[in-house]
Amino acid sequence: MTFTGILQIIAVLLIMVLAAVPLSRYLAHIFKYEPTFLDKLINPFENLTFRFLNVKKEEEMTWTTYLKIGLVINFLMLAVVFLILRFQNYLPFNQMHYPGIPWALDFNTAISFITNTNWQNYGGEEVMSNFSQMALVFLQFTSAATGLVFAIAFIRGIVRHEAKYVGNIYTDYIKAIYRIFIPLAVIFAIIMLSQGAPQTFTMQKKVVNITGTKQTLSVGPVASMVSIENLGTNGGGFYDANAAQPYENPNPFTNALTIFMMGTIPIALFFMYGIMIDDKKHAWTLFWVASTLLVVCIAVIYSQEAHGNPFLAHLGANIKASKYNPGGNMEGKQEHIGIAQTSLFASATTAFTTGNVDSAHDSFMPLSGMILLAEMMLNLIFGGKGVGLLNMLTMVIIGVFIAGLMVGRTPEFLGKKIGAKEVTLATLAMFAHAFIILVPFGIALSTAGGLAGIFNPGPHGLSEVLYAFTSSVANNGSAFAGLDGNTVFYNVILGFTIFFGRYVPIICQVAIAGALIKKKRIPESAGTFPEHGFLFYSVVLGTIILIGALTFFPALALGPIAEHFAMVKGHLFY
Amino acid sequence: MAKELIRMIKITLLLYVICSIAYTFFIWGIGKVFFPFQAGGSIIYKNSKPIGSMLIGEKFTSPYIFNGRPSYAGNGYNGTESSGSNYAPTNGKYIAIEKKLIDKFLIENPTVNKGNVPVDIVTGSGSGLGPYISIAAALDQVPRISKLTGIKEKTLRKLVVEDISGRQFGIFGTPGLNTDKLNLMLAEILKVKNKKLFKKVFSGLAG
Repeated sequence: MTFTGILQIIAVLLIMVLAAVPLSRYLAHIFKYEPTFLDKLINPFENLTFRFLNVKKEEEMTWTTYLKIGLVINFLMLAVVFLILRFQNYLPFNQMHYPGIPWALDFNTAISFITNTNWQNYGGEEVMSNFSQMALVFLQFTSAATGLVFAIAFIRGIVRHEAKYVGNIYTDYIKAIYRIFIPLAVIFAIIMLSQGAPQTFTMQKKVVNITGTKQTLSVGPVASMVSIENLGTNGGGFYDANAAQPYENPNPFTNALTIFMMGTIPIALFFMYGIMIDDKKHAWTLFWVASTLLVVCIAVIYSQEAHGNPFLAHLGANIKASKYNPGGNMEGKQEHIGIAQTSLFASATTAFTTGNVDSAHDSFMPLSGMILLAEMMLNLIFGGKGVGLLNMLTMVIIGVFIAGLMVGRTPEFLGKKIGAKEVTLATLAMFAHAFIILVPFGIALSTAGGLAGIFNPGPHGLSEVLYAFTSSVANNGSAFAGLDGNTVFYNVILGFTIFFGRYVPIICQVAIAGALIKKKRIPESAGTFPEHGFLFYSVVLGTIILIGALTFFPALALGPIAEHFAMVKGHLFY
Repeated sequence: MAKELIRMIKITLLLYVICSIAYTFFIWGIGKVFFPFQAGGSIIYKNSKPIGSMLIGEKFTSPYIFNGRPSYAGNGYNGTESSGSNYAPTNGKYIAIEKKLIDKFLIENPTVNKGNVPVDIVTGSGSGLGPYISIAAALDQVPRISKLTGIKEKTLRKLVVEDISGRQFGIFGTPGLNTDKLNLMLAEILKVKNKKLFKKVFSGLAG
């Protein structure tokens, strides 16, 4: 670890938090239907859209209607993209005459993108036409909006009392896309474009290098994808290597910018929540819980990667950082971006469940890999669009329930009594997440189809499979990419784990909102457990660590932890 | 219910047209007008022939020039198959490959001591297309290139130092050298110094 390295990490994190504060105010205005500075520009388009859709903006829905419409829209969008990919050979912008995407891969990919996962069992530049890439961009907008509007419905469930309605999903959806994602995507696409991300409808360009070597370069509408893939915490890149491909991430500045794009909205959503429920102290406490976890994760990854691979040192490589030598574990990393920023990027992409990678996660040191896994297993270190906040609040409900049991009082959450129904749903959401990761993981390890995809030998191979299921269920999308996932077995099983990993928790969480909204608000009393401050912070953090560790420790012990100790002992795997 | 379904189909198609088609074309238009060079892939031309992009690494393995990092993109620096090696740090096969790479670097650059091989020059980048190497990796190759080309070590060292891409805004990234640029500069020097060797090594520029 170097001083400049630590400075870079702190600078990026600080800028993100500073930008998230004003952004959160803007977001709160949007979803409280208050005027914003973009009204003059966007109102005409928005009103036209509502007229076209025949939607009355203020007509509100119950949580069941809200949820149903959201899910059906998701299904329709999935169908559109499935068909475009399947029949891309009949569609435009396919200069390379790529054939239609095979059904299993198509099934996996379409589900993966509508659920904000962006797990990719394909290399974009090798199989996708530009038209198909553009169709995936459509889902990158809408899946981000889906997560966000469900979080908004949840927050309204907390804010409103003795009420029935959680809002109008069409209104929220259109506002999220028109007022947040499109303006930001345009701005950041232009910045990325100026830095070197291509934006063309050509697919390949042939050149002859200075040494006479022929080289073919894959290009396409990259800039427009890079911005929304990160702003929407989607993570599915244009290229196989995602942001490690220089066209997607030309320089260290764009690398920092990419981290900024991933993290700022999820952080802002925590603050927005504070504004909407009118309890900023509570939101800041949750911010500190997530920040604590994030900082610890970054520190472990950075120290592990900066320390490097002892086997290479033994062979004669210099893994110590100096003025001229980057040192550390450089396998799968971009030299110019460096260890510090790569560590931050990896931690951010798993914390914010983006899944975009600027390095090969499979080549990370064992304990770094463990942290990446842990970040996705917790899935609430700010997390993806909306769902990170939802998962955090689910954990808060479980936390106050446990705290309530300890003191022998009915648990309360922001002035509402937490009953059996809410706790059951919260537990179900949490349990489903673990269940959908670990059971298919076990199935994969005990079937030929699952074992066939493993690339690296020893415990690392087990980590590869664990990573695939964790990433898919957490709707992250990054991979230990050595694993060959493009088989019927993995395409289908991961397609299902992604699907259930996304929708089961969301359905439970929106149902919690439906239960909370009907409740009466009870006035604060001397016995009310404070929902901010150090005690609350400790309860939530403790709950997260305890539940997370109890659930996932055995799997982690068999994979990365075993690999780490083998490495320390100088043991290699063949 | 039918009315609701029509509404849902309408929002799906509308958002498809806006987010996929209109948005992509809008950014494409901006590229066309304001950033035509970047939008096309930052491809540069010499003698009116495209020689590549400074963003994408090229395969430099000849001993006369600055070599880049090992690449796992296809058969090496294949611009259509970006990929890292994905080898785990404890993979025995990987360590065997590393042994070969390190030994090869030590033999090719006898001035470098065992234990001092810059780690980046023997490991693959994340995409196999990164053009950058560390300052140490560039400086370590100077004696070899000088010996083979007859260009003074001092000249080459100056070339390296002048060509360092520092931290952006003084903070972001790690200093390093873009081998695409570095070898292009080297070609300029060699062209003057030894025309015959220039034509042999830089056949892409000679024609």
